[in-house]
Amino acid sequence: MSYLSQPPRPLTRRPPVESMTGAVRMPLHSVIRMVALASAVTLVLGSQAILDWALALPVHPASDLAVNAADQWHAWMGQVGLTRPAEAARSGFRQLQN
Amino acid sequence: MLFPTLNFGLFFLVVFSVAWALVGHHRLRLAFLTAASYLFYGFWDWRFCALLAASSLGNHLFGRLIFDSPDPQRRKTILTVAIVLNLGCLAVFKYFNFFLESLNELLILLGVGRDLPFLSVLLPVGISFFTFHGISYLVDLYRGTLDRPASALQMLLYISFFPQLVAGPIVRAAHFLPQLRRPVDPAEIPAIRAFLLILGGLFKKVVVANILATELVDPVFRDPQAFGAIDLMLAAYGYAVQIYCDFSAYTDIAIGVAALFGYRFPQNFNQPYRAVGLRDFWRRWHISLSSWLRDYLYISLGGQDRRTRNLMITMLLGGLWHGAAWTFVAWGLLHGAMLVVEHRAAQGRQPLAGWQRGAAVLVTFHLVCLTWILFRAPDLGLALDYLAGFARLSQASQVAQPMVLALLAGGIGAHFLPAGRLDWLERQVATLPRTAQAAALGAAIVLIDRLGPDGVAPFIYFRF
Repeated sequence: MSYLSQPPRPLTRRPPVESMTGAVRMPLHSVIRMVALASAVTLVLGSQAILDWALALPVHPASDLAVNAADQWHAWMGQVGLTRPAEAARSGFRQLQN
Repeated sequence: MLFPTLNFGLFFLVVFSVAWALVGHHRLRLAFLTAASYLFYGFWDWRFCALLAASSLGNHLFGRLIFDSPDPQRRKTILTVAIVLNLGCLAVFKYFNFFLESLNELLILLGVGRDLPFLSVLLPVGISFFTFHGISYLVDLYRGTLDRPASALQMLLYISFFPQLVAGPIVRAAHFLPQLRRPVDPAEIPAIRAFLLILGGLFKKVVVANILATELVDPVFRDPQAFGAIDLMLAAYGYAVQIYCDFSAYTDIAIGVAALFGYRFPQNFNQPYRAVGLRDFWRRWHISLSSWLRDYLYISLGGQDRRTRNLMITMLLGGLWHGAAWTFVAWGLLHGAMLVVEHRAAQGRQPLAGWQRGAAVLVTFHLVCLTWILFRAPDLGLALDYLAGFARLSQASQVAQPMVLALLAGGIGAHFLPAGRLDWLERQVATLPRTAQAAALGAAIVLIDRLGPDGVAPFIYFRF
């Protein structure tokens, strides 16, 4: 390790490139509102993914509750037609794949 | 806990809410983020949390000893001991059986085979990354790049912070610790760019990398002798796109998530397949690792004073860092050799222009693809079978599906988009009402989830 015999010196020739330079900033309350609304949209449009997740949980009484709730939620979303956009996108993409 | 899963989504929502609720309590916030990071790590195997804590606290202790010691000779000794211990830990968990196996094979070849004591150890996820973080801390402190040591809490969080814990980017102590010392600013969150990086990362991983892996790369690499030259070439291109989309996805998501907590990570990829040479490639690919190797290893070995030797050692160790296998050794040595040749060829030459630049991009891309075959193959024998298969020119393609070809073209073509594309997209999104931005974010997450294959494969770099 020849560097041990050298006097201490700064190592970095080029500083790391910052990923967030020039990015638009927003205050926390706006970010929280954005996260909350995006989560709600995900909950509504992604009921199939939530059901898939619940079905993959390990067997446990709490998991049964989660599965029942997710199943019920998915059924409600299906009744009002909110599962259709995601499923249409999925089947369209699968057709393209095949 | 993988990023593109609902488990991580729920984990993120809870940690994000509590971390920002604690914004006025700096130390408590750091303690909470540390606990959350250990929980995140414990999802893989809670036993390795003790190793992570021992690594962090051990490096913290050595850092204090280095900083407090007025004697330069003593500082050197402490640094050497600390680096040896860090690398020793990595060697035991990652390389012990590999070296023993190789020694065993050599002894059998020499006719003196012995039953060597193999260890049954699991590879702790992310050990290569947190070892490099620890060494970065010690060397930065020794060199004076860090003006003072971290507190135990800061050190625990620096090593374990969950977005970068298991697959980087390798965030230097001198870059991250100053951020942990000051309170985060809740008025200045770069949320739009963070969400764009996260969405882009999810798309690259869930859709592009996963489809290319299942439809093209995995079948061909499993049995290359069953495929002709066209499929082998497509799978090599496919792996180039897959590994880029997989790894850059992880780091994009990590950078985006960290930004939502108020921390900045460095850029880790910069359109690597538009590089005009191998040196340029390494300035664009896994930047945090290549610059770590350059600054902490290559320069420490003497840099360009003995360029050939130092490049070969650096790239050999860089290859070995990726995994305990001869394929990674060969991959590192091949890159080292090509870098040496390129350095020599470039001496006294004018910079490339016009068609020469285009040709250089094409040649560099194909050289990189060639080395990816070694990187992806499970052993050298299969890699050689793969390369030999390029002679089977007449065999028709079995894997050239339109979707696969479109993803390949898109994955490579995206490297030639203008450099400021993210800034431009961010500005466009920023003009939309906040409600529309949030609704689009939620809808995009659902859409990406539905487009990908069922299930999520682990990220490739988790193995390293």
